[in-house]
Amino acid sequence: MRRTSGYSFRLMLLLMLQPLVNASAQDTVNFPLRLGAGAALFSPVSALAGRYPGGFEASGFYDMSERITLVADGGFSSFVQENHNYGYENNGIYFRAGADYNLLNPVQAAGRYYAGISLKYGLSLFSHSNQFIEYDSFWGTYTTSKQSSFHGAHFLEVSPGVRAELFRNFFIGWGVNIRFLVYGGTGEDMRAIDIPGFGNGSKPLSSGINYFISYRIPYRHKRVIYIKPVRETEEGDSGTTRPPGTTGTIR
Amino acid sequence: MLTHLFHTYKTLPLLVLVVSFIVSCVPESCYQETTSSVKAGFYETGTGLELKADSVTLAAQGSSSDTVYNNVKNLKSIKLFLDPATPGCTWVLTLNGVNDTITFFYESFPHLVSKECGYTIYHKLDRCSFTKNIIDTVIIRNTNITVINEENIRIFL
Repeated sequence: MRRTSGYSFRLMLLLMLQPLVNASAQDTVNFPLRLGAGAALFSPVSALAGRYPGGFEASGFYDMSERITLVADGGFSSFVQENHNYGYENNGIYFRAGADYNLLNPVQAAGRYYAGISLKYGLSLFSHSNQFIEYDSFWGTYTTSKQSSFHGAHFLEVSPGVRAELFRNFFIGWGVNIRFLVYGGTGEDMRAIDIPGFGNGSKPLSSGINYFISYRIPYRHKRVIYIKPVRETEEGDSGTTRPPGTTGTIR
Repeated sequence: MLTHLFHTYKTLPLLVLVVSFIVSCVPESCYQETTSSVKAGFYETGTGLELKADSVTLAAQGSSSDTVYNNVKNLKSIKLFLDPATPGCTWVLTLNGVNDTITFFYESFPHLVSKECGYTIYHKLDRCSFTKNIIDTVIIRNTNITVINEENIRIFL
């Protein structure tokens, strides 16, 4: 844990001190493009508090370029909740597919660091039921239940996050998930309390934190020419800056 | 512009921390209305203007509960609750000392309010019948009986 914190801190420091770095105007990086697989880890504290459903999530990764990684997630979840006036059960599987965009330039990233934004589309297939629903009204307590029914939902996910190579080919990272429900699949009245892979289905917006580990092996090295931003210093120049992060590629 | 946006990533760690903080502080308490009711307004026959009843007493026929309103003065509107266990229920409405009954016929179904609040029961109003001692007519305006504060019926006196 201490080592993970150290890497996260280094990554943060790298991001914050980036404007102070003064290197040559052009760098050539032998950038490792990787492919791999990983798994999501839920916070032990949250799991103990019973805030998240039980389940498992695995992911596959494929670096398309030094910036873009294709990502596919798949998992299952089992969710049980008993409140003062209802009992609810939900089981299902989900898939998410999309891409990570690394905001770090190739020199900083070096195939080892990631700080960026992930955009994904998600599909969830689940069944849910209510063991009981209790309703207290003027007429007394009314109790009913709902048989299990099968549904499909889909959603979009935006996830800023960070990742670092902890040791050779082994990465650890975390991110914040913000998910937008496109279609709940259950109708307005019996919305799912939990949608696998999405979260709380009673609201159109769901958010959470994700921790994950992954093993990523280089499948190819790509030479990337990175042109650093250069401040014009010649006399008479107004001091304009060239757009940063221009890259060229030698395959 | 887009390039500039992509290169504002120095703020990313801060953004992640702020969003994490917000996410971790989501409250899990119920602050929403969970009881559905028929919202009824009083109107004057002929003019169609809103009316205040001098005194209102409302009791459910066949319910062991007390009255909802007991000789309450100057009411423009009332709330009536439907029995989810039956397809119909009757209310005894006493306006200015004169008794009338209104019977509602409906379908009931559960509706999720939120994860925190749980479920309520919504109703789809089919029709209603009433006696005509002080009531002239009853018009159904909105058949969806929910927790939303919208008028469902108009009682003309």
